[in-house]
Amino acid sequence: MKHWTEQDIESFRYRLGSDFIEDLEANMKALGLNHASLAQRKGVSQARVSQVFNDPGNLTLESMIEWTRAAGLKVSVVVYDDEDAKNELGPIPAEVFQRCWELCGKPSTQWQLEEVSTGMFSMAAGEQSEVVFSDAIAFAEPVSTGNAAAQSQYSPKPSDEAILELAA
Amino acid sequence: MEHRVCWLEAVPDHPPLRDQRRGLAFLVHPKDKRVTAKDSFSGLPSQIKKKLNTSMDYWLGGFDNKPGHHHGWDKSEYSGKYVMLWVFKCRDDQAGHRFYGFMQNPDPKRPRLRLCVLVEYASKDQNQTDESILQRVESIRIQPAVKKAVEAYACRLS
Repeated sequence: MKHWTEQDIESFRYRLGSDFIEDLEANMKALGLNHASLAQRKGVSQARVSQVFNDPGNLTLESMIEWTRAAGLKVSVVVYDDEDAKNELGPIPAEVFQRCWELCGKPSTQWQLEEVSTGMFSMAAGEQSEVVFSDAIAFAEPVSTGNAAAQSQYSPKPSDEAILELAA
Repeated sequence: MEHRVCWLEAVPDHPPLRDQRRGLAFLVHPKDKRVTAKDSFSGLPSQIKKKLNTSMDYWLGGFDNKPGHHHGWDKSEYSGKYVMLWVFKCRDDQAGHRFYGFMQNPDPKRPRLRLCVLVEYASKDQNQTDESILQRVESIRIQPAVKKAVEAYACRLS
């Protein structure tokens, strides 16, 4: 059984476009932006925003960059191996990667990533799990974007507790 | 061949079971004309299918807070009569394509498992839910033959 996104490139692209829009909207919400304010920032009509957001199958890399920059955000393209080479499960939603990145304290350089990785390995080994995890978050906070609204997105949630439990 | 009043078929091009937690299936009930989901889905244009498939993906993946793609009805709505029902829709929803179904935990040994059984297709152009659809789906949900079909289908899921 193959996932519907395996039927053709357009299907896969539609799902990616939809994931992008869902992720963009979630980030916009955290920043207090709505369609009207995004339209104003981008210099297009609100109807145009709705049109693109409701039919994301024709998004290009260029247009993704334009929409995210208009919202004061950035976009990355991620390649991954989820051990589903036949694509029976479909793409992993962008929100999953976004949340993982946030949980890791939003690292943006190789050094920060290494520190997070070290912290996680320590956690996995059961070494001072809570302290190490807190440290990983603490070091990462100063390197955040500087956007107070975006920073306030991070708050301990049940999934964080689950990770700590797992590590303990 | 065993005579079956109704049965379940996996929604094509989706995993029948995701993470041992969620599955999606069509109810097939040859004698009940209210059961339209499977045939209607297969007859939809590919662009609409993409949108609905995306909504189904999100539900199968556990992304519950996406009311533009799918939602249920909680205890505060309709006196809590339809808390087991669910609907999938297109995000933009211009043509109002809706697939109504119900939730069931078909296996007490797997308490996390939720099966969503799609029953009826409707095309509507207003935001307010037509309660008659919910009444029909609920009346189908509680039929003993339907419950049996769900349990039989769940036995094949692993």
